[in-house]
Amino acid sequence: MKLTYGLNCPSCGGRVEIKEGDLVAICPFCHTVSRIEGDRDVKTLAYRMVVDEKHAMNSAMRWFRKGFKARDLKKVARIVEIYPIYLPFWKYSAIGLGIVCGYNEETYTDSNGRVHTKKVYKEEQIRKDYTWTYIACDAGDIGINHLRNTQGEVIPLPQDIPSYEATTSKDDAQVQAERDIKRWIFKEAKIENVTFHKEFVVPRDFNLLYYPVWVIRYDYKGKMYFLTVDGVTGQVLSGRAPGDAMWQSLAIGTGATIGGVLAGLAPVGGSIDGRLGGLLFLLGIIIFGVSYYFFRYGSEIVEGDIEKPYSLIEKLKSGKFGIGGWVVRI
Amino acid sequence: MVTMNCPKCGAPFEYEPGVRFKKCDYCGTMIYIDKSQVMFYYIIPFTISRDNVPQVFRRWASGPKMAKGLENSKIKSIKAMYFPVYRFVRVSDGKEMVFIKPAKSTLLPGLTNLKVPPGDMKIFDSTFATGDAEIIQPDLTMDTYLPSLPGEGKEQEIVFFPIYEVRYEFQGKEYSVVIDGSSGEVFTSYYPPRSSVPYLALAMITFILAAVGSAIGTMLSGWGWFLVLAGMAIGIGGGYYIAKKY
Repeated sequence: MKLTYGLNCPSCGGRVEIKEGDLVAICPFCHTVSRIEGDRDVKTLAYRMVVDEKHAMNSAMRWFRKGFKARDLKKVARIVEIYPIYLPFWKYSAIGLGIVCGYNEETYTDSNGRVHTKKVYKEEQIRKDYTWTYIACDAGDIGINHLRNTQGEVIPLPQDIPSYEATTSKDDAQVQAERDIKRWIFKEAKIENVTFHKEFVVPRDFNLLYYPVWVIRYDYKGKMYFLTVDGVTGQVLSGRAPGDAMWQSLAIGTGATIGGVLAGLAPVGGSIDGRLGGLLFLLGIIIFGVSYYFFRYGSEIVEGDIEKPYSLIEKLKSGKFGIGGWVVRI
Repeated sequence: MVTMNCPKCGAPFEYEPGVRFKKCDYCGTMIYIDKSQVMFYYIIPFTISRDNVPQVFRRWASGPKMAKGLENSKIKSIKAMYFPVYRFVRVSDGKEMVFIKPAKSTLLPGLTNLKVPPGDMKIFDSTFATGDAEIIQPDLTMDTYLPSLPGEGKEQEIVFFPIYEVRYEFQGKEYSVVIDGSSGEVFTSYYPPRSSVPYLALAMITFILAAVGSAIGTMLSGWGWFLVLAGMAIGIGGGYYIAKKY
């Protein structure tokens, strides 16, 4: 049983330069062309960390003040630790080609004031570049599943910064990437009633990309929260932060009032136009629902790809809200 | 750190997890490391120190789904452990598949949902300092799984990942959570929940007062709008009280 194999030219034994992901190698001595059967045909690359610790701290300080987080967060929060890591991502670049046929229904009012609906037939051809990324290890509580930025200076993976291991299957990632890109192509057409569609994904590049991220853990009144900062753009990617009872109470006070007023105006609106009444009532209920969710779950603010307990849209999409399978188009 | 030797010139080189190709520092030969026939022992180090565990616990316990006051529970014990799982990489029909299997039967909350948590894997050998954390020994062997896995083996490894088991007491009852020592994720199977009733009740009062008030305001008397304002005041004032107390 051998554990290591030297990859030399099979013909003359000469040393051949091979980089991970290469498919063929040409021997510089005897010019024999060899095909390389790598066991993971994925090129590994990394982006250079351009954001320094001070920059990452500044991003965190700005983030503390933004949104509906505790008002005293910036003053009270104490940064416990800050460290850089490299996170692995599957990165799939492809050209998406597609054809989608169907029709949209448009309503118009004619000169006699009558409302008509007509079908507008459409045929869309799509050709677009897509880049798909997904974290190549378990996401844990890091909260970064997709990369917002896919540009950076490519370097070999640095040894001085800890890098997390890729632990998921590259083929599973590839299958998922193609499925997602096909969905994006389909959505691109923006046709409501589809009669025919076909999408193709022409792969360009599939890599294991190590992406630099700063992890910042901070203490707020004896509780430990965290956030992550993009090591290339300096943007905050994900995080948890304490909420504020004042924002929660303002949300329910104003939200439920506006919602209630709209619902209360529904009978009056309905006497003018039946549809207006229904619309007012529905709008009132939606505003009420959103403000209730923020009131109930706003004591912790989560950003990024961390599961959000108060995300109404997510709940509706996943059907966890008890409206199983009901598709909501947002 | 594990050392291997270059098959061409015999020079030693150090091996890092996740590496399959390595260039010999001496003769420049590209070396391919075949992991299909061996089992590697990997370990993920702790990044969250024991001192910070109570803060991580309190952050989780103050979440909107947890009973109010859970963050003030008495922490009875914090135990650091390295917990094992098997990770198999198989190739079947040219496709790579990853399987995670238990190496230890456990009743710890959350650990029945198997995964390899994110972390910077290291080779687990005598040079790795585990400190005061207990190494949980596997009680299931790899052979339990190997015959039933599809395809051919490409890699197999046992990964020890860091966890804290936190036992806490809330209103006279004892509960426990497991905190991933690498990413800080909290696993639990049961915790005392927070009731939505006061939240929903207050929201409904404000909504109904506003609805009734605006209906009266537009159809009967302008006084109705005072009802709307009263509802809003109750919503803001009561909302603040409930968010703090319940």
